[in-house]
Amino acid sequence: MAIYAPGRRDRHNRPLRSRGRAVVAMLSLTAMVDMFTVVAVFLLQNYKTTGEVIQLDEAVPLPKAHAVKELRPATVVIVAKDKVMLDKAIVASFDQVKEQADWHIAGLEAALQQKFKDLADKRTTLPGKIKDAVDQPGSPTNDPADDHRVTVQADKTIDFLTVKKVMMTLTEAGASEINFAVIKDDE
Amino acid sequence: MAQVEDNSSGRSPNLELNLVPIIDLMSVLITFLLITAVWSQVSMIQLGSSLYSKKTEDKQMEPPPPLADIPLRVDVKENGFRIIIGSEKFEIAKKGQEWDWSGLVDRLKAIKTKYPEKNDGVITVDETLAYENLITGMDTMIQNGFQNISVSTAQPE
Repeated sequence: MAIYAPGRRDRHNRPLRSRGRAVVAMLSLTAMVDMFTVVAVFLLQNYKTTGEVIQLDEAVPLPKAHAVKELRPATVVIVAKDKVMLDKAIVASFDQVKEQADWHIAGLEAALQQKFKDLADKRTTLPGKIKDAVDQPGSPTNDPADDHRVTVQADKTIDFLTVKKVMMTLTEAGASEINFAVIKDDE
Repeated sequence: MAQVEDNSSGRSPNLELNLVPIIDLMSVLITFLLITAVWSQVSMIQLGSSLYSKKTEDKQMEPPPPLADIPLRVDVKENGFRIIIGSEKFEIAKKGQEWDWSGLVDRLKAIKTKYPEKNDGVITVDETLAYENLITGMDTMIQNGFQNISVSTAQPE
């Protein structure tokens, strides 16, 4: 579609040039600035400095809760309907865990112990030592026990016995703190 | 452009406010905030001194919670709740197919009123029930003033 300059026109749709004064088309930007301000204020209010600590999986619906705390970085164990994962690596199948009478999940325990060992080794490397030196002594980021913190991201519909087996295995592998990932319920 | 017209003098000077830098700034700010925004409200529920927590040798013995001699236990069972506080026992049956969570809240509030210093409790959930019931039970207890929640390995009685 053709774009025409604003202004009066003759019967042949030609612009009239007789008036002498040029037409100045002013674009009102005030409303746009108002809208930008509102959006910027809304986004700043909802801004989170911690970022995304765990990645949500649509196949693992989380339970909802009101009395929650802010999620902290930790080793994440995912208990889905078909598998048990440690940091996105499958360590056992759900059916196998559900069927076994023993509460120890060998694959999960071995993988978690290896993870804890890797985290401890990382602290002895130069970047780890620099991080320890820079961090304030006793600060939340400088406690070796934090390496043994585990967050359980479990499907809300799975049976509690399977969760108990996972929790027991985590404890036996050396987890110092177990937390459950939930969706914050604002209602 | 936004402009202010002053009609006091003969010729009207147009005082124009240059909004272009503001729009530039806003555009950059909004783009940055939209890219870095975290929309999901994922949080966590923390276990208290769980029966699962492994005691290490270098860990000092923590002092017992207040009123530790009056244990609080909430059993989530197939047919309802059982609440044990000290030597008292209360049963809350299901309402139809649903657990009576409001009944549990009322009972926990009454216990909190009777023992205001008590802040710990144990929850047991039937092994066949969904994991969601554990979280809802813990959430209910924490909301009613019992922040230090432990999960028992035992089956509800």
